[in-house]
Amino acid sequence: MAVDQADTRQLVARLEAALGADNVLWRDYDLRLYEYDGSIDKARPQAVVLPTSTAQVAEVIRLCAEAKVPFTARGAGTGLSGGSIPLDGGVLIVFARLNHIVDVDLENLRAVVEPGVVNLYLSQAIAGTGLHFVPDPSSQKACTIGGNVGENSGGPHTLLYGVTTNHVTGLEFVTTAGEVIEVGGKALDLPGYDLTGLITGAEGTFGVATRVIVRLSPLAEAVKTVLAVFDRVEDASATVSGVIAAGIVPSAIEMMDQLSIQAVEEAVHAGYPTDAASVLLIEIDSLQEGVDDQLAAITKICDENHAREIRAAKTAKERNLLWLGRKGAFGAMGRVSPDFYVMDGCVPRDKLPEVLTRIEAISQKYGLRIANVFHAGDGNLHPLVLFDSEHPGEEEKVREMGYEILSVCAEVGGALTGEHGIGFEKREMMGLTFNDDDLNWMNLVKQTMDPTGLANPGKIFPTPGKCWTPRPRRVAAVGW
Amino acid sequence: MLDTPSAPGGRGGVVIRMSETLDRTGLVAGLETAGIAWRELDENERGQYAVDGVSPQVICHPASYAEVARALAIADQFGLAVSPRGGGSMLGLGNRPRAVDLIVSTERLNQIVDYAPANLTVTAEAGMTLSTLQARLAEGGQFLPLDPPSADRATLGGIIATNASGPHRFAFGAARDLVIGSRVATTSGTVTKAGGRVVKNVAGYDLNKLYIGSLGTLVVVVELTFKVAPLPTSQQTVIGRFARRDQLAQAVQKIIRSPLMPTAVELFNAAAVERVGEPGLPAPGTGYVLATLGTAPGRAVIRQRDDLTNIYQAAGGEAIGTLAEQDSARFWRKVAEWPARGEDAGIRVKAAVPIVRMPETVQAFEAHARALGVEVAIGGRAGSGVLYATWSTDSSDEMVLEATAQRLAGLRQTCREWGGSLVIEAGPAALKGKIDVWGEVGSALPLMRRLKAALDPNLIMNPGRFVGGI
Repeated sequence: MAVDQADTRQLVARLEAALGADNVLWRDYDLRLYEYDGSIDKARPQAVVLPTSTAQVAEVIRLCAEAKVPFTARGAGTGLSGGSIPLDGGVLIVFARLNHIVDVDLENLRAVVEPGVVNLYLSQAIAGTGLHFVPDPSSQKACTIGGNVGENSGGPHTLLYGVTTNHVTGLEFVTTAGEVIEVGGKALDLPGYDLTGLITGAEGTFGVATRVIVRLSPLAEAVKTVLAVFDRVEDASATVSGVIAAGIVPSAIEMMDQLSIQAVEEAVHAGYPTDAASVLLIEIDSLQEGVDDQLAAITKICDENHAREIRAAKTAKERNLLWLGRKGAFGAMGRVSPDFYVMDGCVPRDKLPEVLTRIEAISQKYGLRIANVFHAGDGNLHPLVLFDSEHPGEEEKVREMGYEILSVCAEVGGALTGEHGIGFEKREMMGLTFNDDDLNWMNLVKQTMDPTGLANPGKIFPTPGKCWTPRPRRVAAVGW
Repeated sequence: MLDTPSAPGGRGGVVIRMSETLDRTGLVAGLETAGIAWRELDENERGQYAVDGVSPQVICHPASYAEVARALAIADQFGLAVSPRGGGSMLGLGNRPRAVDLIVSTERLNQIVDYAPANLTVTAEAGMTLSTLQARLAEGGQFLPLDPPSADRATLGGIIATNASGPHRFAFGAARDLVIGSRVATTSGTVTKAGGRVVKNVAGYDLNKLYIGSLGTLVVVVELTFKVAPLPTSQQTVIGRFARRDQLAQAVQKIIRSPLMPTAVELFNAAAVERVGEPGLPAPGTGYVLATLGTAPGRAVIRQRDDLTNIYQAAGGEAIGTLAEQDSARFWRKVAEWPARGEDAGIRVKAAVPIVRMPETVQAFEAHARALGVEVAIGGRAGSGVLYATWSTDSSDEMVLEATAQRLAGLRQTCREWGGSLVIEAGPAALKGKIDVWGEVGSALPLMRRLKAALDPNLIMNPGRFVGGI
């Protein structure tokens, strides 16, 4: 988008008048820091604002509306689908200074936070109360709650506890007209349409949340983490199905294949056996008695499915080490490949074995390795396609493989993304699971929530006639 | 031809369309051409299908999603008001409609579309009753942890449209936490989907949330996909009696902040205990009964039972007894049912407040009941801040209704000051002329109206029944 310099200067002057010069960045040098997120795409905003109040956010959005300039909200920039990339330029609203925990209301199991609060900080702030904020994407040390709301983030523990939207009961929200409205609240079942639920996961395309009311939950009394080692991937898959079929709902079931194990061992030495075909990391949250009983039941199911080793973490240190391996998996890929491409699809759990087999076939067909490290309990796959961008033609292959893999997910009744978002990355693939009527209907909602079209443009919806291109990465990913 | 969307539904002065003014030639011809089963309602049936006294003339029974969409498009073309209907168990909810011309019944959409126990999800047509679905899931050792009243009549679509829920919401949440996918028929004649059959899905907007609780004012939900849960292997219910509200509140706080993680935490006053009708459940006099359900795996359920009993006693309550397994399950089915008992002759109100306001809400209801000279049954989800109050009323006594409306307005004001709401879920049509059943929704109303106007531009879907005259 061509940006008129005079217009930009005028906009910056207005933003500075509204927010103070300290809260507005516009020099090229500063803007470069905000042109990327956890994906590979880049786009430079015309200006970056760091509002310190809801009123300032509303004023910024009013100024954008007046100048007909788009705006995009950004938390910590850990997103993996380009959600906070200002594709058409405009104003980037950064929440780094709107980062206060406003109210911790233990009796009502709620907290009110500003969007810039880092996910992990909230649970840390209430440590010792017996409560915590459940959603824990692996970028939780950096990612913000505002970003979690925008993307409806997941994480490894969603199997038992649900995703972000299940833990958000209300928002203070600035519409694209710059009006501040309240949706939901601390109480449940407030009358009217559930705009809190509609806005959560809308990737910032409806407006901007300036406060988030979240649910706090009791911490589990006991947590047990088990590593089960398998010589065949099929046995690991069968174990996942077996656990679900036995009526056990662990808080997490994570799967890693041999390639992932080898990369992880090289990088973090978590103690995974490198000759195993697959490992499962299973975590149980319950009362002490429940943990013991479930562990016994899970061990039996692992045995029946020929697990060669079942290792339960005996101490918090051992448990952390097991998780360190899982959490470091994306970053570890750099040890085995110069480039990799992170994918995120979700399939019905009972289709996992079939989908894994078909992904392996796609890998062989193209001659590029795929590492699988994912939330097996949710059916949420993260195939990592390993390649070398210096080899001519490999990027093109990755593009085709990515499309084929997500086509398989769509074909078995799955979703194009379980937790990373459509963003810019997958917008051209939306047609794989939604027809024109579905997309037109969603677009009608978009146009109603954002009549100006200025809220985070270019996201979610496909551009007619455009082809999908992959977003490979060379850098270590922080999210998963 | 319809009233403006801003007109407050159900209040005096709103024109209710008289059936004789409806020109149904076009409607009937359209339904005939489309091959959609329809029939004209006779005098008797018109009373039976009336919504708050507003009678429809025609009912249709589409046999497919496409037929539902077609019926809506035909009604839209002629500007006729549509009222979607499932089992009719929650017809009391909503303001008096501005018009009801065509009933679109989901009765024939009653099949399981996909049930994969290994995926812990089920997809079913919206006209299936909850009890039918539960019976199918039980064969797979699973259940849908959504337990609103009238499971035998209530359809999945109706439950979602009214956002009905029950005691299990403490652990499992309500519809918004369990619906992961939907297909809906729109007034433009399309069938569109949102979400899917996977438990983690952030592709596209979560329109499921928009439909939940929208009371048929946007679309007709024709298919739903839910997360389901394994049936508990064991269950224990701890029942106790508390003489004072502060003791009760102390016990509830202790329970909900503990790692015991019970499945349901339910409160009853004496009249509510009576409505539950559980033999052996003693009336608490002027005090309260608290029932807590534990379903933790293995031996943990015994630990839940014992610790909950201790919490009751430490707070000054008297542990009356426990119910185990089948007895416990039967008890909770009755608990889910009680708020809907006897509603034909009375009023049912839902007060949703921040959890800590629960005892004050109970107190406020009891004070108003005394002032009105009625016996109020009050109870509900003590751990979630969602309470139900019911009492009988003389719907022919104008003075009583006027006093009731005033009292409810006062109670609502109190709930709103606490950050909560008060919704009249059922009551005489005459009462609805005196008070909006929803109350104000605040600063988000303009956005809600815009959504309504965009998705149902001719305002044919249940006009006037929802918040702010939507």
